[in-house]
Amino acid sequence: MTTTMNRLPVSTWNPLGVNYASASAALPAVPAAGWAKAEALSPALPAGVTAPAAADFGSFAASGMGAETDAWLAANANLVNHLAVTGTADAPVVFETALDADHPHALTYLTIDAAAGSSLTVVQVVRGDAEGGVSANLTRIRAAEGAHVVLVQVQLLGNRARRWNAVAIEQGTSARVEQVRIELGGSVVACGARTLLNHNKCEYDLDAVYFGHSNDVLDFNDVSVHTGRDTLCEMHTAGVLTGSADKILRGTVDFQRGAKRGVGHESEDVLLFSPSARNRTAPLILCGEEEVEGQHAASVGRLDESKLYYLRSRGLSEAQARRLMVDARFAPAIDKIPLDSLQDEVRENVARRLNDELDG
Amino acid sequence: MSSPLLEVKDLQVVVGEENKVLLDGLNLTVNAGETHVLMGHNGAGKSTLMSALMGDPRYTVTRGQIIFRGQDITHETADVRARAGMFLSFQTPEEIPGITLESFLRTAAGAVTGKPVKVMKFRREMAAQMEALNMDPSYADRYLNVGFSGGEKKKAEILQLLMLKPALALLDETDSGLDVDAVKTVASGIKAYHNADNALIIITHNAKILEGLQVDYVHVLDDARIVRTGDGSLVNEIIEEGFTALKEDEAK
Amino acid sequence: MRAFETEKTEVAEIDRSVYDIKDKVNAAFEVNSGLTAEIVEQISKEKHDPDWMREFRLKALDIYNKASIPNWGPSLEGLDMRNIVTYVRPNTEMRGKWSEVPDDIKNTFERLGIPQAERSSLAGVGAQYDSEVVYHNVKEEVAAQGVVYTDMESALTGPYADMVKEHFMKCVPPTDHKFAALHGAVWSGGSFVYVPAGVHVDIPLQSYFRLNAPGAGQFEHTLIIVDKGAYLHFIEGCSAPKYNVANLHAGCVEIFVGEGARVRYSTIENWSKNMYNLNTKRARVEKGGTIEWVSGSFGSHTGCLYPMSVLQGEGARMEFTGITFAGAGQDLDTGAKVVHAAPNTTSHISTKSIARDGGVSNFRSSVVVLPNARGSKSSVSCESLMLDDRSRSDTIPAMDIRCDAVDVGHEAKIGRISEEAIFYLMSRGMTEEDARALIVGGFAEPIAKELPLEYAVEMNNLIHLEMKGSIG
Repeated sequence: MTTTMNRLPVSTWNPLGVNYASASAALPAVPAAGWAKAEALSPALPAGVTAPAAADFGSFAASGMGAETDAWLAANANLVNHLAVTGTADAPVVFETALDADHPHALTYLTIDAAAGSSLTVVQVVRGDAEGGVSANLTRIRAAEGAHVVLVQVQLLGNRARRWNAVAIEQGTSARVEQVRIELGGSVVACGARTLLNHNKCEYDLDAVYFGHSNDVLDFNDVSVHTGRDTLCEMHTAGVLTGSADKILRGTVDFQRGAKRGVGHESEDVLLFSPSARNRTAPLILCGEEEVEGQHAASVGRLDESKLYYLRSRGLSEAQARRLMVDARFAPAIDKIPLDSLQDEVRENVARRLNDELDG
Repeated sequence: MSSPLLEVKDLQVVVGEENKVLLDGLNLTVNAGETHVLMGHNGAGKSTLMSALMGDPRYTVTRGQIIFRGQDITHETADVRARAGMFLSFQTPEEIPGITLESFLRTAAGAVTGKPVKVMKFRREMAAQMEALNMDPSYADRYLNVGFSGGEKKKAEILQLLMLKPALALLDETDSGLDVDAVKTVASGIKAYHNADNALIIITHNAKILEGLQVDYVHVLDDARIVRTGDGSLVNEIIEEGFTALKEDEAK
Repeated sequence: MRAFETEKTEVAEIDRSVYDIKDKVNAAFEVNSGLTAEIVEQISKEKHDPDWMREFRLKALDIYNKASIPNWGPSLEGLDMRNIVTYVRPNTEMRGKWSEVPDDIKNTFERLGIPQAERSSLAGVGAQYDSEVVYHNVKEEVAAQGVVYTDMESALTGPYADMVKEHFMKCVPPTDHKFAALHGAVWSGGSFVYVPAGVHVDIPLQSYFRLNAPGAGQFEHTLIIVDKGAYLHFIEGCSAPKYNVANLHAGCVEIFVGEGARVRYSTIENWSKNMYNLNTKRARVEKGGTIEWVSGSFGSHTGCLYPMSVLQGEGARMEFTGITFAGAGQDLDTGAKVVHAAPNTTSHISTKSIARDGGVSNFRSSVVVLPNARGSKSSVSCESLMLDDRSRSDTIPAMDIRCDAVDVGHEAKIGRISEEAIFYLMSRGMTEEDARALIVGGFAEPIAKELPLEYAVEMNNLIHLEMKGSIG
């Protein structure tokens, strides 16, 4: 594949390597024998939610990964689901997928069509591992006027599978979309979310978490495009890098002319647990409108030695202290998971990964 | 008798995209030498009147007139009103980074008087006024209102009043958020400013700020207009008995 | 105030002979459309280059011809790259005529209240006789401290020839980018400064004077070497609006900061608004040394300016303070780059961008921390102010951190002047225009206070000028 993936909306110096995803994050080759579909459970649908056989998302906005990648993901999907919601769904719709050696390919394509004034929470969980395993996902959300959609993505793969995760969102007037993206496993993790805030008073929240280890390649591209008035986006990411993990996070708030009183905040907090990890961050604010408020902040570094010492002086082991500090950073995302058991599973997964790092 | 300093005639003021009416058919006359107090519960329109008098662009005058020193200023911008001799002490003064209080005040004094300001003389006068207001001299070199406490901001407003010497001072809750001593200091500042050639309109919930001032008129605002006007004794009556009692009186 | 007072002395007659000779030379070049080895050889010959420099130029030309135009940043479409020779050998005759100075520059002089007699001098069309005198005076004064301050051409053959050869384009190699290569091939003019160990140069050195030399403003090379423990403040004087027919400026500044030395490099750039300013500035800082950049960008049609600091000695430090103000028709892409290449190095980047009247004012930065730079700290803070909704201001920072024992922070803000603040100032008697100018001046104040007084005053004047008529 020669598709340019996760392109930075405005290019900068090429040697930095942040203008688009490197070749190591390229989409997988289609196996000669075709995709071997992973196990997927059919979710229970609460009242107000239907699963139509087809949905019209033909000319939809591109995800953060780019229209070409989206097209590939849609064309190759072997697990396709469409959801439509009217009214308030009183329970989350949970999609659970698991890879194993015999079923190593989960290529999901999910559309969510939220009618005016509706409210829905969707959880996408992927687990398991396989040599050559692929978890690729394209999620498209259309949130009509006043709709409220929460998309919770939890990726708990092992360390061999590779992962691509594209999200594209179109929002109507006063619509609100919240995305939680937790990416803990995978040797390659490439994600890109993009929302079009092209109607007045719509809002997008992204709480993202990642964990990179060993020689993992992580590549993110999240974009919030503001064209409507009184729009708001909050994009916050926390991450941990260990081993020789190599991560790029691009986060862009794009205020286009006319996006009056738009507000955009983005932040990233990266914890480095290894001298050989590499962290690249490119937080952009593009501004063609005067009446806006845009802010971004990034902080990169180790755990504060004096804080670590303080915690240890109170009897915590180094692992416990680390876990405490990581939990604090990950909490805003994890706390938004609507299922307690899944919250616990994620916390345990993080703890296990931290322990593995200490032991190794 | 000379013409009044300020005449407000049948004023209607609206705000926002929905054109919400905040003042409707308000009349008020203020002569030089007078002190007027505006009272009324929150949202009655007191601050709106102050803002509309000063020309705050968020408010639109849809009917009526504001005549100041014989000139119709109803649709003039705030700077024109300031140069004509009007001054508003803001409830929450703006913070302007990068501009020191002193250089700001000198620029303002130049703008209001239309004459170049003599730097040394100005500095001496400003230092004296700051001392009278118990302001630390270092505030002159600090950025305008940036990092000032609530009380310091209010004192800085009164300092501006004393330095700019307007003909009409509009004081919008200049005493709120101040401790007892600071209220005394501010009150003595206002007293020092007031003379037979200028006038005050004061919004307050607290009689302390009026100590030492001869209050000529008290206006009670309700439902977007002045519902009652009385002499200075009305202040204590309202503070003691509240607006509800007053309204009941009205009903009888 | 030295620079300003001397600039204000005008010499009535321009010595035409200098220009006339050059005109004849130019005519020969104009038949060539592209930049060829012959042209470069000719430049080299004319400047009496040593052999190594001639070879250097030809190598750089080769790199230039192979390199492509950057695929990021502002559009350079207005540059005629096929006919690059017109930038390299401008027709200097036009520089002598006040009548050829564009109206916007003339108006600027009007509004600054500069007398007619001085305007032509400031515009770079006057004689440079006076500046030369001042330059020589300064030269003598600092020479007493053992400081070398001379023009690049003399330095190439003078007693410091070996030092020049050892350092020339070692900090900014011609391979860096296409315009660095172009510079390497055709550079001309500029300053050479050497400050010996331990010497504290009390007066700021200004390149102001030198830039008025014909043709020298386009591709000038500034080479500054400050030895152990020494201190220098160098001011790049593009402070007068400068008129050039040829509208490409691809200068190069190289600064070598020795162990424990400190260099402050200040610029207020106000090129005329037809200029493509593609200047490359870079400092290499040894152990315990400090580089401080202070940069104001007001002029030019298109600007790409990102002074870079390579912190290659332990404990080296850099500080960058910058302001960019873009108005109608301007696309100014400015910022800073830093590479932490040694332990315990520190960088601090602080910038302000202002865009109005359809102008584009972008901030771009790159912070790289290499694996050996343990214990390093970096902070970036940029603030943008949009004065209307026809303008643009993009913030494009990037960081590449390859070491865990670091403390890297970044923050950016974008916004506009609050209507409440304007009303507050207007309620104190200021016109809306003055209120806006005052607030913008306040926004720029943290930068202004880093500048020498006369430059700060001029920057304030420029802001007020730029703000004139800003209210539609």
